Amino acid sequence: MRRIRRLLIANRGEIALRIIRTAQAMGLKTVAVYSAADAGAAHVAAADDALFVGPAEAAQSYLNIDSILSAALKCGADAIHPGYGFLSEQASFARAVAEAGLIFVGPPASVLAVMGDKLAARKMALEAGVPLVPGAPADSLEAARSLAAGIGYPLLVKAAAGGGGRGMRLAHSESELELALEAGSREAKAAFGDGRVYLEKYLGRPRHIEVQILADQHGNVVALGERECSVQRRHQKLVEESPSPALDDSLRLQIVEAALKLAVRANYVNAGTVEFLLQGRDFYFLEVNARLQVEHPVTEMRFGCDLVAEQLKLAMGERLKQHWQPRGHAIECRVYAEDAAADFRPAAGKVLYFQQPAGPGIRVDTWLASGSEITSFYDGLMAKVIAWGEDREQARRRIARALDEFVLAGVTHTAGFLRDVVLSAAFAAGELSTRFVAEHFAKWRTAREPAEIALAAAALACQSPSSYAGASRQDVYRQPERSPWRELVNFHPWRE
Amino acid sequence: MKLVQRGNNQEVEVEAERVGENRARVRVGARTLEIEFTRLADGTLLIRDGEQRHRVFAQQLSGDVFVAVGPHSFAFTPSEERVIRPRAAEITQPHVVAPMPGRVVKILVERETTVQRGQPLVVLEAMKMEVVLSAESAARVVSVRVELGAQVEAGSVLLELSPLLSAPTAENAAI
Repeated sequence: MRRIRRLLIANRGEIALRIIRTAQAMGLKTVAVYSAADAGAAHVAAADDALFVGPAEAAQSYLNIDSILSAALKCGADAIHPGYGFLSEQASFARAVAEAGLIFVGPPASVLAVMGDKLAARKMALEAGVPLVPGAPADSLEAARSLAAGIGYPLLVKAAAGGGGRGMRLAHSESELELALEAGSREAKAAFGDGRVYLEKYLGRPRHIEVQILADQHGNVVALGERECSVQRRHQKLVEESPSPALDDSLRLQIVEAALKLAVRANYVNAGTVEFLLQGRDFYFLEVNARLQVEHPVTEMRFGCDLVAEQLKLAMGERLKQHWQPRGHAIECRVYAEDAAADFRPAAGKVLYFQQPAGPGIRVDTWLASGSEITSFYDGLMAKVIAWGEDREQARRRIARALDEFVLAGVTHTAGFLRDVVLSAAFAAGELSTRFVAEHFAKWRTAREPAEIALAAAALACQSPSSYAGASRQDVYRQPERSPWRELVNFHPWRE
Repeated sequence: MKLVQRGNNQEVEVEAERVGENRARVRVGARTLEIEFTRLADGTLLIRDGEQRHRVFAQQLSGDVFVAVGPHSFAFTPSEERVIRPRAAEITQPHVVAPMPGRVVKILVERETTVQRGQPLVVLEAMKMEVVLSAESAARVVSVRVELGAQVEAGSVLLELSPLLSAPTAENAAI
């Protein structure tokens, strides 16, 4: 057992704040890291200590292993929590942390290396007897042609070294195969430095089902149910829920058992998620996310657990003892800084006003407050709104009401869009697939009434700013022509 | 006054008339709204329009008006403002302006290049998305105002263009 006394959180935004809160409640000291763009951010304020790690560009700060490690050593941290994204799945980072004598809160580097390589992960799934989407690596056009004959069309060309849709191409027939291979390999090489591709059967309207697992350092593994994350857009999840309305007990058991078999085979340690695609009653292994996921609160609300606390305990060497029982239903909506009515174009700016939703069964994970700046340096996740209910319908009504209370001005965001999604007939019926947004919300626009009220309010605000709302406290505030975060390049760091 | 909504570039004519302390009659395009509003402690308004109630925040800042109506967010620019905004493109010149904040990843033309309508000019990258900005009409590139890799804000001029046809006069210039 290795106690953690001082934890450095190698991340930013809502997840850094969320990790800090759990660690502090457990009696740990916390250290935040910040880039030039985040000097005034919530996670910096919440931590016991904070260290500057570089310029706004993620590559030079949050992705800078040397910078993060030297901060950890300087402040006397004995562990690093990588959050999600950034360095959380970089085997080289996990290795460097271990070599520096610190605890990495996550799986060991060897496991990260296997899970990060899609082909190696697929091979492991095969060995574990877990069903895979029919497919195989293709290292030449000839090999691809004969593989394709076995898999059938349409098929996907996918990058072996990374995800997020980069390096992915669809081929509807043999005539499209060569071009798909070339284009996919080229994009994969540019995105991940590795042009290897594999072919996979294309599933028309699958559902995305994932299983949350926890594993200790003594060979024990437990699954905390599944989440359905089918409502997505361009491989970015928007709405997640647990349990999945698509599964009966028998199918759930099969999927959970497959996830556990894989975790055991992989010698998995700490928290992770095994992702599957479901079509009808057939499920296929997709990949393992060897880290805490964005949508983990959905599982926490349903099982009454704190996954970050579990991660820390597992990292300290504790055995899995607890048995968690699920109760009710939980739904999460991710609010992004995007214009849902303009093809989800990313937005940026300063938050002028923010009212967070609250109420029975409502949880909001966010880093924003009035005055926060959303920049284009980092992803645009503004807040996660999660609702728990005794059943799906209560959770759904609660989250719709909560989104109604999500009032934020200054940065265009997707709360209104998400509210319409959860209120739609298809969502209410649980008729989900990864094609949901494309099929039901391809051309979403704000309804006429709120748009008219907005115009009326804008006209009144222009007319008499001093006697109208919003201006009373902010009259004196003038937004500078140059954004303040640019000037932070010269900002004197808290600690060198 | 005319308000242009950022994002869809729709221009709407609005005329607001205060009718007493807490009421207003507002013409929005072709419709007229009769609204009542109550100022709340945190600076927001409760606006009633017939049966519906809306929680509203609206503030004008550096020319733009930022509004939230419940979970919906908006940004408007009063039409007249576009003439005097220092960073906005001159209305008589078809400059290439960044529609959103981002990083310049490709500059496909240089000074003195002649471009056709629809020709791609600059590629911006923001939050893992690429946006191609193309010429709206045949023009000549007068100057390139940014460098490759530059981080730009919404509204900043990236290229200055001058149309190949004779420049519009004061009478026919679009407002």
